[in-house]
Amino acid sequence: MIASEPIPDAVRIPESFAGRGNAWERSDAICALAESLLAAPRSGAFVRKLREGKVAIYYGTRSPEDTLNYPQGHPRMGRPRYRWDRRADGVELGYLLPDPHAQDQDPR
Amino acid sequence: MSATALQQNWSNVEFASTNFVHVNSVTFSQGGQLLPYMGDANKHPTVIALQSVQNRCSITTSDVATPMGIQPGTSGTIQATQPDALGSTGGAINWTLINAVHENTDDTGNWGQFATATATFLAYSSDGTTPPLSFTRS
Repeated sequence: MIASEPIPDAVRIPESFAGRGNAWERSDAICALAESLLAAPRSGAFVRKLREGKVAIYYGTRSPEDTLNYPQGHPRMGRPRYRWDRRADGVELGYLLPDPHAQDQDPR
Repeated sequence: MSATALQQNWSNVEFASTNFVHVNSVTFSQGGQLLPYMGDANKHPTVIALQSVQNRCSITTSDVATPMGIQPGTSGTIQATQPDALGSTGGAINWTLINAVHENTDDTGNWGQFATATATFLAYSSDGTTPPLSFTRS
């Protein structure tokens, strides 16, 4: 990652980045990449596997509570929480959109 | 020593900050449910669609008082670590299930055996899209 590039709040990593190892090695590779992109310590990237059609995507964030869309009960319920920048290699970097309804804005 | 890619036993099992000891078994379930389609003269499904995904967890422990003390409907986060089979550093998997709602606990005791209790949980997604089950490496 370029040093001047802002640290994303979330990442979406295609399954192809898992490599060709066994299942544990593939999971480890995804976690390692997510940690690197999120500038998180080891064990600091929480990863969920999403299936979008026939494609598997790994969604990683620094908190297990994070969601792709605004949660139930939020005025923006169901709408995306992130602006996604897609890199040439297919990895997407997510940046939280300003939330005018948030009581506690994330200081990051 | 490199990771074996084999997981064995459980450690650091907790629900909503309640620590579980004497853990015999933990199950995290993806909870996928399929909807098969058949019509006309079909005797086999011609299409199978993924209808829903409901992440689940169950914990079986010989410390029966702990899960029996949790009221059904109580929600919280479940965390559990699945260590590497040979204890290799970095070989464990840490599971986290947020929004887990305690459904039920069954306490079973057979004569001449240690009693066990199994607590079951069903998790909801805050936005209906993001799976509540996540993992990190150790």
